[in-house]
Amino acid sequence: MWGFIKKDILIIKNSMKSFFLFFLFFLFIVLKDENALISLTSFMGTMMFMSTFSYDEYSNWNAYALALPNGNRSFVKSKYVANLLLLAIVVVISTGLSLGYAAIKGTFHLQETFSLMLICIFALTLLQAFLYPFIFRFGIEKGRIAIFILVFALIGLSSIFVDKVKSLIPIGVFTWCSHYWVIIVIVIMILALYVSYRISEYVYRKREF
Amino acid sequence: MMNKIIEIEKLVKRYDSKFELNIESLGIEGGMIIGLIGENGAGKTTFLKSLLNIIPVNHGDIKIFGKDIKLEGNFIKEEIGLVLDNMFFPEVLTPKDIDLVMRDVYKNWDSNIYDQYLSNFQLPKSKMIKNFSKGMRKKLEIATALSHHPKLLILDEATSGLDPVVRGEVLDIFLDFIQDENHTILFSTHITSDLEHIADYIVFLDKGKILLNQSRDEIMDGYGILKCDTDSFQEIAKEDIICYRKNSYDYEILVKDRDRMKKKYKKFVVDRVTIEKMMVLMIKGDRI
Amino acid sequence: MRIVISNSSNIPIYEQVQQSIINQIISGELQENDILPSIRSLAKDLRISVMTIKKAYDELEDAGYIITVHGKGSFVSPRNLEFIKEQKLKEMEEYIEKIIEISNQYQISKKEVLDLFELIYGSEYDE
Repeated sequence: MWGFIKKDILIIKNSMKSFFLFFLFFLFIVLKDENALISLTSFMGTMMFMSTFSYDEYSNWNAYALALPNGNRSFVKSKYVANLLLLAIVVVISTGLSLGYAAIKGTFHLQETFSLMLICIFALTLLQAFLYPFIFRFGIEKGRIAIFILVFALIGLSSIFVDKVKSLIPIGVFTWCSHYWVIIVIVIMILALYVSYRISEYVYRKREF
Repeated sequence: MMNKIIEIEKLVKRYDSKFELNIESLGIEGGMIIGLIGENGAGKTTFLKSLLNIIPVNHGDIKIFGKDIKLEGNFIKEEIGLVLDNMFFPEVLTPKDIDLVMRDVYKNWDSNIYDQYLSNFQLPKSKMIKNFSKGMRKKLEIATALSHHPKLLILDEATSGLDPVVRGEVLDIFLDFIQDENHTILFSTHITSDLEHIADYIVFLDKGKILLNQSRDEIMDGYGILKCDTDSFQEIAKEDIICYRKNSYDYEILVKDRDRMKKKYKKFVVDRVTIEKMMVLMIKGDRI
Repeated sequence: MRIVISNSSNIPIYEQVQQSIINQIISGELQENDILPSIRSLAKDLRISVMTIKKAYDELEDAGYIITVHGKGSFVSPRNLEFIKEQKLKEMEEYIEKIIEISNQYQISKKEVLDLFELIYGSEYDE
């Protein structure tokens, strides 16, 4: 499995160039709007990770993998594990960026940053838990449209509604959330990923190449 | 003396479309080069994918090295080197990246041998696959297939699309590989001239079924093509005709037992067969 | 060792291999106990199938020209050339019997046959 994860990391490393425009876009937005930072970082990460599916499919790696020892399991498992790694990286990067940003502006909203991050990660994980079985069954090409619509909708909704939702919830809830809801959110994420993983493994095995 | 490396019983793979792969029984002995031939669409790739358990099959017992592919697939796959048609690493990776990945995939992956193949084939280590020519890419696939000390090499159309010089080089690699008598090559192609000399066994697939499964010598030295003009076609005994093709000026008839036919039909020419000619006659020819 | 294979020839390839080895044994190029290349390496050098070479070697062994020692390789049999010659003479006998049979069938006299023999043998080999 680690070989397969290495492969995805190498794909992302080698294809960095093609994300150059996204990076510019990213910088431009982030410099204008502090709140977009976390959702954009998550979005970038997801985009880059999703691209590994396209590369796999284009070269029929997904079929080739099945002919390798432990290929079936490794392929599905590696994507899920890599996805968790990616979330971890997103957390680190966006935390770092937020802190840096805050340091420059001199305003710290640590609590807010972390809740926002958790919401983002939660949404992304659910999205991916939902999408992966489709990708493993039908391929990224057919799944791509759905991904775009869902991701953009998510960003749109979060940027519009996050503030409204925040204003609706009493301040006290946030502090309460931070030590109680966090656990529930994480449990839901893990459950969703596990179920999704099981389905993916099953449908990938049944796929025709 | 030699063990059966691959044993197949009642393999059926049906697609929604009309195509069906249906192999009653096939045993392949080790230590040889086995050529799998057939037209495009005859089912060669489907056969190899079913064999390796890449695609689900409707029915079939497949054993490789005496072990069931469904139960002990991982063990079997450790011992197999693969060059599959249009299936390989993502194009943004480099030969060096492949080395890094494969170290974690095969227990027996040997980076030294891999490096040696790369330098023998004059392949750059840090260039992305997408910048490789077709020949270079094939060589890289072969280097990858050979670098974990496999016992069985399975190649799907590994020489098609290559120029004759590179093709010759590739065939030399196969002949080197087979120097070890525990090594076996299963090699599918529609370019039959590649196989005509080096293959020990020929398995001929057509419309998902095995039409012929014989040693090269039995085919090349046994079969013949009898040529006669349209008027004398009646003179040929029906039981001697496997299949025939009517051309504008003559008939080409595929016959068995060439020497006997030569004696029996002295006034006609009985030529040696080429595998290509035989393939064409058996697929396109008429039967009585 | 020299072996030339013709793919366009009507003679099966294993027979061509067999024949060129026999020729070299008779001409003395291959001596008693000389080691022959392994089946697989010869197959590689000639770029022909392993089975084909194996068949050639098997038949050479059956005819007594070579011996194969398992794990060591194939060697030219330690036998005198007289034996081979004797075998060839026996083979010739068969042809001559065939000639006599035909001449009897079509009332061709012994003298006519001998004259024919002289004519062909002389013109081909005297010069």
